[in-house]
Formats: sequence, C-alpha cells, structure tokens
Amino acid sequence: MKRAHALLLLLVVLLLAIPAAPIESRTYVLQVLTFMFVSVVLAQSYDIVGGQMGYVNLGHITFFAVGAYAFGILFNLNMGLLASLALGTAVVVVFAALISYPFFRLRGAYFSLAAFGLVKLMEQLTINLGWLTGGSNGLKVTPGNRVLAMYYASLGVVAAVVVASWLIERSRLGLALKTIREDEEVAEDFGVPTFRVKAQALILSAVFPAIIGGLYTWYINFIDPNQVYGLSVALTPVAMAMLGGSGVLVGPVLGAVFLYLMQELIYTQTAHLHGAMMGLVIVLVGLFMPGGLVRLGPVARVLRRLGLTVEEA
Amino acid sequence: MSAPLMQVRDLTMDFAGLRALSSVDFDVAEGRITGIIGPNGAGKTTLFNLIAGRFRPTRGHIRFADCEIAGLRPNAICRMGISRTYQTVRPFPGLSVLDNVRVALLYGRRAGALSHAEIEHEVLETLDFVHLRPLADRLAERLIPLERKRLELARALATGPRLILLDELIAGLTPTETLEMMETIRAINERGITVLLIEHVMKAVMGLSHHVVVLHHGEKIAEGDPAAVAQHPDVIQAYLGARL
Repeated sequence: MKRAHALLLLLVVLLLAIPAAPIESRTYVLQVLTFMFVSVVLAQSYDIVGGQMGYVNLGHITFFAVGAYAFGILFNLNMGLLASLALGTAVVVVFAALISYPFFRLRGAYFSLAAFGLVKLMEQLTINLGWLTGGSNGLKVTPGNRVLAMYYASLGVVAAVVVASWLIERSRLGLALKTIREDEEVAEDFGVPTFRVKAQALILSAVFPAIIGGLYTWYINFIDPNQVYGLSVALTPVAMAMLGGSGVLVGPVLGAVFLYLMQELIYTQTAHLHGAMMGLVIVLVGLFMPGGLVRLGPVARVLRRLGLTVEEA
Repeated sequence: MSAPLMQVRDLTMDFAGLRALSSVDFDVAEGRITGIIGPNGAGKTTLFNLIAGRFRPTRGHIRFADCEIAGLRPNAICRMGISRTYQTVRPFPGLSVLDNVRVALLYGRRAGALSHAEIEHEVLETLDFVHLRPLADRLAERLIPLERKRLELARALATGPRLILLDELIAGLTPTETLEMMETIRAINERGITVLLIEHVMKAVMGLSHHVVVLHHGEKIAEGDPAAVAQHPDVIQAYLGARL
C-alpha cells in the first residue's frame, strides 16, 4: 500500500519535472505529452456519463469543440486568458444543460445516435456561422509560444478531472449514476430524480472538455471545424475510455495514454498504413481485453494496491 | 377505524384499446395487510404500476395520505412513502448488496434526514432483518433467487415506506421458504408499515391478509375479509369457471 503511494508520488514529481530535464528535443516531448493530456481529459470526462452512468455519449466532443470556439471568440475580443476560459466554460455548461432535456428523453442506442448527430449539427453550424466562427477558414487567435504554460495547465486539468471523477464515484450522485446504468426505471422507483441526476452528470462531464478545449485553442493558435469536430477526434475519446476500462476509475486514463502513445509511435516510426495499424490496435485490444486494460491481471493488481478497486475479470 | 391510508377511486387504465383496469374502487386501511387476488391478466400488476407512478391512469384517482398521487413521477411517489418489489425481481445487478440498499436510504423517503453514520447503521440493520448481512459485499447478480427476493424487500424497506407494495413475493418459493417469507411480511406489518400484496398462493394470501380485493378482467368483483371472499360465488366462478 505504502509503496504504491510512493510510486504515484514519484510519477507526479516526474511529470512536474520533465520540462526542467536536460533532454534533447524537449519541445517535442512536451508537445507529445500535452496532446496526450488533452486525450486523457476527454476520455476521463467522457466516462462520467459513458462509464459511471452507462450512456454512451458519442457527442462528448461537442463540449470540447464549443469550448474551443467560445474561448477563441472571447479571447479575440481582448478578454484575458482566465476570463475567456471561465466564460467559455460557462457557455458550454449552458449548452450542456440545454441539450440534456431533449437528449435524455432517449435511451441506449437512440441516445448515442442522437448525440452523434449533434456533432455533425454543431459542425455545420460552425461552418455556416462564418461571421462568428470564421467558417471553414477556421479561427485564429493572437499567437504566442505557450508550450511550457500549456504543459502545466493541461497537466492541472488532468489532475482535476481525475480527482473530480473519484469524488463523484464515491458520492451520493455517483451511486445514483450507477443505479441509472443498471436499471433506470428501478432507480426512479426508488427515489432517484433521474432527469435531474442525468443533467448534473452531463454538465459535470462537459466542464473539463470545455476548459481543455479553450486551452487547446490558446495553445495552437488556430482551429477549424474539421480539427475539433472530425470523425476521429469525436470518436477517439470513446474508444480510449472503452479500451482502458469504462466505468472503472482511471481506466480511461490508461486507455488514453496507451492509445495516444501507440498512435504517436505508429505515425513517427512507420512509413505507411498509419490509420490501418491504429484500427488494428483498437480491434485487437477490443477482442482480447473486452473489459479494458484495467481488468488485465497485472494492471488490476497494481490498481488494487493503490486502493482503486477493480473487480476480477 | 381511522381514515384509510390510501383511497383508489374509479381507477381506469387503457392500453391502446385494451382496458386493463376498469373503474376500480377500494381503500387500504392504515397498518393492515391488504391482499389483491385475481386470475392472470386481471390487472393486478397494472394496478401496482399505477400506484407506483410507472403509468399515468386514463381516468380516476389515487389518494395517498390525503394527497392525489395519480400521475406523479415514480421518484416523487417513493419520497412520499410508497415503495415496491417487482414480480420478476430487479435488483441492480452490478451493484453490491450494500449499495442496492444504500441508494434507497439516500434517495427514498428519508433522503437528507439521516447522517452518514445513521445511513450505514440502517443499511446493516435492514440487511440483518432479511438475513443478507453476510452477503453485504456480494454483487447482486451473484445472489440466488431467494436472496434476490430478500434483497428487493430490503431495498423497499430501506426507503422508509408507509405503504409497501409486494408483487408475488412468495410465488416460486419452496414450502419452507414460503412460511419464512410469510413471517417476514408479518414482521414488516408489525413495524407499522401498511402492506398491499399481490399473491397467487392462496394459503399465503388468505393467511396474511386482513382484507382481500378480487380483480377479474380489470374489474373489482369482490372484497372483504378473506373467509367471506373465498365463499363469494363470483370469485369461485372467476377461478373455477361457471357451474354446469
């Protein structure tokens, strides 16, 4: 138990110290890690609704995208970084609250399909509202070199989303989410106000992609619709959560780290067929580890020693 | 006798042209056990689903503790003090026995009224009552059928109900289990909880109930004390068919 906690502490110190390390191509390493953190935030926040509550939200990326655009527009109005982030996040919270009522009238595959439709709807809206969003030409923000700041900021959001997921899972709300996942009608019969609880979960899961979306725009200075609404962008966090272990705390983190690093390796170390290899990895993990990476024997043992319960596969 | 805890008046439910319940009236006396009997398809479970808020009635009233509850959401009705079990058991399969009961305490009638320590104490006490405490950490999906029935009962009790709806809790049990379950139901009633139960096992329903309501083809054909109802000619005809 103690050794495991020491290990965790070591990891945190290591991540904090990387920017100071005397390594070649430091910027490249920081960039890779930063994009990995973005993936982790998306996958872990997806899982509040997708894993704990069992609603496969294929539209999760809209929170990231709306957050990215809202931030960009506000930042270009010469609002400060923090003000733009806060207001952009508020926009996403309102957006999540508004869509929760119509979307949560649907269940199962119907919910997932409608949520996926929302991605395309928002993409078209973004393309067509050119006066606001720059349309298909994209949106630029005042450029700057923000590699180091972004590294720490995104690491901070990772910490926040992991802690938040942990707190939710242990809370009264978390138990309600699980009862909805198990049997929504029975949950309602036993006093769980299902509409309110589902809306709360959706809003909580929208906050973190909204923040990281804003930071993303700030970091790379330019976004366009395909970049934030594209098919692979939209579905990768869902695949990451599922392959890591949906419904288990830090499962999505592991899935995101694994898939992101895999992708980086494949794209930088091989010449051809990147997409196909990535697809093959996803298929193989899905076939041979249906419960996700976290339910793999050795991984599960380490997690249990860290006090994160994972049931036997 | 005091005013009834629940009054059902003119309760009618149509499912796309099929009348499942037709203008049913009856009272549930506070602190008593009321039995609902009737052949298959008589509308018994539909009646429970209406009381628990799963369906909105086509017509009629359900007054519970001087409030109209027909058409309220199930979670609101649960908070007012009505809880239930299901004909085919429905525990939350992927949750532990403990969590199955805990959620009823956290969201049921006593939601917000209990401290964390009181909740944990109540959970264990309720599990003790249905003899499930040794299995507290087991996932509900790993329980055998009798244990699942007990878990459903524990969950319903944990909401802190004034009225509990038991839908064929005894059906499918062995004779020994039946006797034990009957004792448990009596014990629940002795705690002051009003019981409304649906049962096919005649020995059980006649042995437990203070009052019996008979449904047939969605209509109430008789009610009264168990002995009288059993002799009622319409009831005999409904169950055995007309005398030739």
